Amino acid sequence: MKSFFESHLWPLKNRLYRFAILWLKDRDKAQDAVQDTMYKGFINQEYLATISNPTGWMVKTLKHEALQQIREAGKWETMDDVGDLAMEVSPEVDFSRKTKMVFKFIEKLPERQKEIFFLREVEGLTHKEMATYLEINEGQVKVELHRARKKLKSFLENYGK
Amino acid sequence: MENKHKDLWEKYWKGETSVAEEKILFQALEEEPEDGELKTFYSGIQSLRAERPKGIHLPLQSFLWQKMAAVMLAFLTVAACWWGYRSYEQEQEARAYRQVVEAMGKIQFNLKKGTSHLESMEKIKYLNSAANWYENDKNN
Repeated sequence: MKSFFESHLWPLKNRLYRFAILWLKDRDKAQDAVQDTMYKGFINQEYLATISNPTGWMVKTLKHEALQQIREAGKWETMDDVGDLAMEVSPEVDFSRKTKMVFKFIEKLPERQKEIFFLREVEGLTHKEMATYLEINEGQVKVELHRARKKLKSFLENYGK
Repeated sequence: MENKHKDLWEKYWKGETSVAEEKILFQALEEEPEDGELKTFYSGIQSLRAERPKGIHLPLQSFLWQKMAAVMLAFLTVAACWWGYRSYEQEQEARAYRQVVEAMGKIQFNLKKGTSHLESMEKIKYLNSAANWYENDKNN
């Protein structure tokens, strides 16, 4: 029989990895952050089995790990809370030109919009799933997604001009 | 590009499309012959979707490995302590033996020293016999 970790937390690894790429823009660092998050999930699986949103807990832990990675790399200036990941990190060189274009746009978004946009466009999550991931309400998700897409439209219209 | 699904795109920019509707839009975008900014942007999104971690291990394996390593380390530590204690014990025994032998040697030396001092007494013991010999010679 599969443990809680194997059935509920381990399947999140690909999504968490891509989410870590959003913040760290580096595959190796993203992998390290996800590995550490998975280990923490494994250690705390008994507790996670009792809470209503273990996915949210994993995302929060991943965010914390990503912050730690950035902090260690010395690529940060000030940090007030775990939710603040809006710092400049240059993308790893081997990302394609198209992917860098996505990063360029995402960088311009406020933190919450960035996460919502990414979860929708890259992960294809529904409003409800995004609300669970980020531990916010669906209404907030809809508003932020609308704002992000509005900005995308204007970004694409002005891109290369 | 946008004419075919104009209404759906309008809905998309407002953030009102469902995941299924967005799939239709992106599929249509992929089939577009021209490479517009939107198509390029969504190709970038596609590349990100294809990203997969390569070296993430199930923590269970590393946890078991760590457990085994800890047990092994504890065993090695105990074995090293036991071996160290045994060596210390043997060294102590050998040292005690050497000290006993040394002490015995000293006792023997001192006993010998006493015996050599008594040798002159032995000579004194025979002094009378020499006088006797002298007396006997004289009488003869």
